[in-house]
Amino acid sequence: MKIFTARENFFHDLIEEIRLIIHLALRDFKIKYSRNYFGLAWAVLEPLALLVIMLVVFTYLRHRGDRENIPFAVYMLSGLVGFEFISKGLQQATQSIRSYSYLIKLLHIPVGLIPSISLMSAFFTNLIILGIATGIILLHGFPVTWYWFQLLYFMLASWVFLIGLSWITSSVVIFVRDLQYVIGIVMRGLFFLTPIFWDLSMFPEKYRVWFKLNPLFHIVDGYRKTLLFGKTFWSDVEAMFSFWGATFIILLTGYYVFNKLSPHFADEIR
Amino acid sequence: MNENFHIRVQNITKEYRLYDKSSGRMISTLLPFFKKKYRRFKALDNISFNVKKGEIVGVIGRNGSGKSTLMRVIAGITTPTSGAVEVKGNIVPLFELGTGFHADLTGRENLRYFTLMQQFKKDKAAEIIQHAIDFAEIGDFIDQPIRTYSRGMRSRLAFSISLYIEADILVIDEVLAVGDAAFKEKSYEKFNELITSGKTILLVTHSEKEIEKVCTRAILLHQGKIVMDGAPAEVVEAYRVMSGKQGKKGNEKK
Repeated sequence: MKIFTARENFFHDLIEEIRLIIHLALRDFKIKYSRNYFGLAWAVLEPLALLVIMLVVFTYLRHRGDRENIPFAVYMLSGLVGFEFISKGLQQATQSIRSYSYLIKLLHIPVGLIPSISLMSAFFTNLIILGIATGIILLHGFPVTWYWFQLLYFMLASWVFLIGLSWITSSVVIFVRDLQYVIGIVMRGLFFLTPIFWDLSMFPEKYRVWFKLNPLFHIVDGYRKTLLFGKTFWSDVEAMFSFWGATFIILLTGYYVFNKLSPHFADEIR
Repeated sequence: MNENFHIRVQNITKEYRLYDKSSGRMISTLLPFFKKKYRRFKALDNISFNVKKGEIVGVIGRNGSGKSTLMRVIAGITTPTSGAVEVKGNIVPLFELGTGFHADLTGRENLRYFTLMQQFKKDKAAEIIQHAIDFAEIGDFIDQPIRTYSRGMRSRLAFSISLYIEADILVIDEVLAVGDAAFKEKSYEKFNELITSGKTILLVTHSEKEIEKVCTRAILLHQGKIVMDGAPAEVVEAYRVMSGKQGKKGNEKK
């Protein structure tokens, strides 16, 4: 079982596969939300609730809410959107092989694309959150600019990063279940280590570069710079290199690990 | 060689390495120089046979004899340790009850996704689904979530859809066991219809009657080896003798 088998009609197949992934992601959506009263609203309520809590804690308790004359809600939301996709996408995609195990043979797509079903499902949710976030940003009087097209770049970058990372996590978690808890802890840690509710300028110059080693820095900071500050995605070269460097290594590792482990999936999950 | 085969199984051996922990398997796969301790268990031992177009091959054997493993290998769900399987045409495996169905979706929705995964065009899919619903005869339940189904209904639905998706090879692993007599009868008729149109069916069952009644050929497995391969009546007779002799010793597997 190869992740990508040789095919006669690459692009036709790819389009068919993407279509199938979208359909299955919608199915995922349906299953997840059809049994709750608020349904889909939960996907959006969770990050919004987080925002409100942060708002209360930082605005009223510490009087340090606003940064650079930007309302805290807007500041945090603009970064949180990017982080949410990575965090939710990774956590859901990690479980993807296990939750789709019963479909593996029925699906006429390579196993390597299965994590993408979960990523797609998380991506849809994220688009809704992004819609709400931009709504709030616009209400605060920020203009729509051409820079907003950069969102496409950051989405694509997040996808590439997530595909590689989910190849590693979704295959390893089959053998070591504990990994899902580790990922939960790491993502929580990264929530604080990435400038979502704080700004890099709070730290002395000499420490700043260390925060940029975190590949998520580029994404979170990028969403914000795009939505609020009208800066190009290559304006922070250090963060960009750190992101693509990490992504490259992760993709290669992911490809290797997934390819090696996927023949054993069927023996581990019944 | 006879080139008319649908499935060719050549010297298949499936050996399970039983590690103390799942992580052991991962470590020895990713880092070959890190050997972890394991015990070996041969589920299939050097199995070879061909299945021709239009055959209904019954596979019989006691629990743990390797029937299901063999089916999983043929269906490509699990990889053999050595040997090769060659399959001409597309194969639809049907294991357990309603594999691939999601409990929270209705029967109809599940069928829709099932055809979607097999990449049928929309109107073709609608046609297949309608046929399957008619065949399954589960009435209004079709628009209820699968979790409300009885075991029999679930397997009827799964079985029905697999009949109509025009697979060249059907692998049916004890799915009919929970169906009632009338439904079985109807299914057997459908089998005959399928094989005359050039399909091939592999049927795993514990029912000796079923083998004698519907199969054109039978294979008897014991401890991962083919003990006998031939006419259903003779194979079933051999199976009866074998289980009679060993019945009291219990299952000595593993």
